[in-house]
Amino acid sequence: MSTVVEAQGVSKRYGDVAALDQVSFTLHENRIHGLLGRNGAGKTTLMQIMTGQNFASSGELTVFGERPYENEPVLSRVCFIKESLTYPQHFKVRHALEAARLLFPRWDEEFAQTLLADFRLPLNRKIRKLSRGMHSMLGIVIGLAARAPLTLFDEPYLGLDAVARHLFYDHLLTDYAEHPRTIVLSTHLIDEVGDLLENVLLLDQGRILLDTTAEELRGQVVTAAGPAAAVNEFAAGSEELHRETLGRYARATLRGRFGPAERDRAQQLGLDLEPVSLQDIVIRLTTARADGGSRPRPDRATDPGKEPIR
Amino acid sequence: MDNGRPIFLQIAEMIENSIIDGTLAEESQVPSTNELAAFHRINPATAGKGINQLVDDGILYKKRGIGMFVATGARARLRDRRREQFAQQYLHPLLAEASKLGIGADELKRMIDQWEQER
Amino acid sequence: MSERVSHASGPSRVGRAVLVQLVGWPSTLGAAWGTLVLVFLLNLALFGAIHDNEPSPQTGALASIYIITFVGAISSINQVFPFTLSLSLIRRTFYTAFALLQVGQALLFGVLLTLCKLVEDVTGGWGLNLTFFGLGFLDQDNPLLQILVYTVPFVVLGFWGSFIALVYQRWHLPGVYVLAIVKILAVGLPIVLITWQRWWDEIGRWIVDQPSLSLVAGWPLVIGVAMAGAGYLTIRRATP
Repeated sequence: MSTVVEAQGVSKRYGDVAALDQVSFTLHENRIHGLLGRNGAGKTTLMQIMTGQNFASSGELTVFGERPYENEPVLSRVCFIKESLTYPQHFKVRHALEAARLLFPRWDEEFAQTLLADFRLPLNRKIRKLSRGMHSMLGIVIGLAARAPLTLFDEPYLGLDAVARHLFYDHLLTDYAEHPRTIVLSTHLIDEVGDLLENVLLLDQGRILLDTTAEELRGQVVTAAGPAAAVNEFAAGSEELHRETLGRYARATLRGRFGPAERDRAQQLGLDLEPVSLQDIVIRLTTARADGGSRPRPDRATDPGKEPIR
Repeated sequence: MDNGRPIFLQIAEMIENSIIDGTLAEESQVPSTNELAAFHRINPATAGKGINQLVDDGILYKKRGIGMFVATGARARLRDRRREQFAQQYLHPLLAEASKLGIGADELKRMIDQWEQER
Repeated sequence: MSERVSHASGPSRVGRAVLVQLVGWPSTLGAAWGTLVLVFLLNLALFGAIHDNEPSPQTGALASIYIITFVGAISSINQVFPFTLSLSLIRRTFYTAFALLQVGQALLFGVLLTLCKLVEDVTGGWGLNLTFFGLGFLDQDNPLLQILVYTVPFVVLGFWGSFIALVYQRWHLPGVYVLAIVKILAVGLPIVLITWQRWWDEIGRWIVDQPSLSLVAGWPLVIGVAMAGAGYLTIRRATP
């Protein structure tokens, strides 16, 4: 599996603020990656650096094995559709498509026309007169029809209704299946795209919190619910991300290895082991950090609010 | 797809169910990875992993250039395997709940008989 | 799938960058000439209605197309540059295409204006003794020099406008303020110096000694090229 993007200790500072802090990761060829994290986590900055639109303060980042900055052979294979994509004032929808056709070597005009029809985009309307949703659709049409070997979507669907979003997912999936390429999806709608992702990169406060496959992540985090004492026993050895208690009943979100053996043990302890959605995993991981770091069990005793009743 | 359980397992299970209930006959062609991915709105690699697991189990086999097919004898094999898992998957929780409620083994048997008669 | 692909056929990347900047040209280039034609027709109608054409009327309305070009260069940098950068066009290629387009467009406009001037001369000022194109200080005997005289201001204004816009794209408002201060100093300090040293007479003599060609084409061209270079250095690390 070859590497498309490789980052080594990439940092980006704006004055005292570190938008990215020692970020290292790799993106693999022909996979769909989710770039997740809260607002201000550094996702957009990272994608701008990947596409040569911004510069790292330090560290090394390569795309297709080369630095992307002002690198024509690399960038002509990259398409970055950002939420804030702006078009020249005088552009109509068809002008934007003409420009994209000129600039993306693998542009598929037929596919673009199909997408336009599906999204019901008016070719001759001025782009600045489009609704927010239609504006987003135009970006999506360009991003998909460009067929760039590395395609990045940064919150591509502001103002899109559920129908249009699912249209996007469906086209993305079928076209990706026929024309595999490396895709990066940055979004808040994690539940909607969770099943589309093969890899997950979670950024928080400029740092990489997670770099794993979606499949693996699903098995890594569970909630264990039952008598507090049993939860405590079961939670020993795994990282506790969150805990709620109700009387002698406790529910803990845990991160660790949960294979058949652990599941048997939970059953013996009378615990309900429940899966956690990708969305909830991300919420738990990012809020655990915001509380001042994730807490392994021993620390919990110092936090009276979260101390279970024994 | 339900959350939590690996999606590829769910895909494999869905195909298995179709084989067990006869929807997918032996020697018939199975939907392609891409078709499965599009239908379930999941990553094609995940769908492929589910299919590959069934290939490894000998449930499906590959005809080069055509696609995946249900192996002869797959249905019987799946049924045997499910039977083995039945106790763990269904009896274990049943007994656990029964003992929590103070229902003994004899009473449980009577309940099952009664249920069967009423059905 | 991972070979380096450029479009298999058709124009080069720079050529494509030129074409991208021409997308929707009727509302940019077309608007410039549309405005000029409109202003010209208004002038014709106005002076045609007055009849009494003594002394022969002159108008500075030709400046409109130069102003539009200046504004066009600014909005090209402010709007088309960020857009093409978003579509993965590198800055160098964009700017090369932009510069080619500026020069080509200036030359085309220069030729068109020269033709208009010729018609104006032949028709006796459009039958009204009107001087719209052949303003006295721009007059050259040689048609090639005439083209040059019309062309150079387009080049200078184009690169001046784009440089200002690029400073904004790279350093945003603070950059534009600094640029404004630098400009005031660059113009003000020499004036103070010249006044203090009483050099005005010499400067005046130097200007008078210059052929009009170097005043309207030569020296401005030097400034235009300097601006183009400054623009290139500025765009290299612009992050709009």
